Amino acid sequence: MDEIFPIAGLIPLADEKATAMNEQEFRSLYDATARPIRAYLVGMTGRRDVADDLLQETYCRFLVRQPQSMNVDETRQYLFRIASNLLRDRWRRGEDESWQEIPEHGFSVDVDAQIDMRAAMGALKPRERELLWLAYVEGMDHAEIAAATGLRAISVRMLLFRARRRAAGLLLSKRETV
Amino acid sequence: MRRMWCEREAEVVRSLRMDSFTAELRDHIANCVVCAEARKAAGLMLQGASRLRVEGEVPAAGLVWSRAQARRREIGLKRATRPLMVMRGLSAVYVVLCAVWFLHHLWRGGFMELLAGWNVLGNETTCFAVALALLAIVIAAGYLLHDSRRSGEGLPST
Repeated sequence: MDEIFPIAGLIPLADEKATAMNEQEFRSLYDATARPIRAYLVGMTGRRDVADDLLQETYCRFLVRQPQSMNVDETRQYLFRIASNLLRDRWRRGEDESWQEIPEHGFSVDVDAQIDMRAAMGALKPRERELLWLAYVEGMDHAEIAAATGLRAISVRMLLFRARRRAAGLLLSKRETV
Repeated sequence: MRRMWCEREAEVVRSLRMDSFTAELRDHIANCVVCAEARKAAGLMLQGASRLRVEGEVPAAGLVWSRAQARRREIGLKRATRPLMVMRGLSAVYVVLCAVWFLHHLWRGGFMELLAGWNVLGNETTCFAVALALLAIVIAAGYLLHDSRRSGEGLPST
């Protein structure tokens, strides 16, 4: 993960031709980052079609804005921030607030665990799903989550605490009822 | 009051990802509510993520690149035509001001006197030209307003 992308934005915007990211550079960035972001979007919405649209929109916005001087981690956070903003726009419009069931793609996995996961994901609020994903799947710390979501680090700590407790409670109650 | 966080939470999640817990860490999890909850919640999220990260195909990079280039061109075009839009707005304002000025004078009768004065000079052609110019202004104002409304709706402007 120490690779440095020749990010377009080492870039004064005035000299766009000399500094803009070319297609090859974009492809290597995309290959390295698109899958985790798509997984995040599918995990948040539960819908692959929506996730694919949002993924494309995320990279379009990234390329159009061409942010300045970013290393790999900052680029990754920036992409997650765009994706999170797009998700929040949808939630604000009342779309995808309730988590959809992701149809199976022929994977043989632990069925009980998957039912737990679905039940808990469906019961969590969008913001809770978002914070838990960034913290536990992407391994971001509070400051990184704050950068990716636009929240303050102190709020992240509190919200993450609540989300974690709720998720754990949901798993526990699910197992007790089985 | 319950603790909100534990300094070993990140370590718990890291161990869960690598599926390697030391005996000491297991003991800690057994005695720490925060880490126990973190382990459950992280396990849940990682399980879902591991499946989602490998399944399906991401949209082709070339497709995303082309779409972004088209978007950039569109934004560039919008920026380039912004002065034109400003000029169009200004001319609409100018036309409205002229119309107000004309109506004001018409209301107070001064304009009629002016026309009568020109008549005294015997220049009927001038009166006709002024009337024609005013008609042209009104038509132009109508066109500009209609056109700027169409542009605002995102329709191609003529």
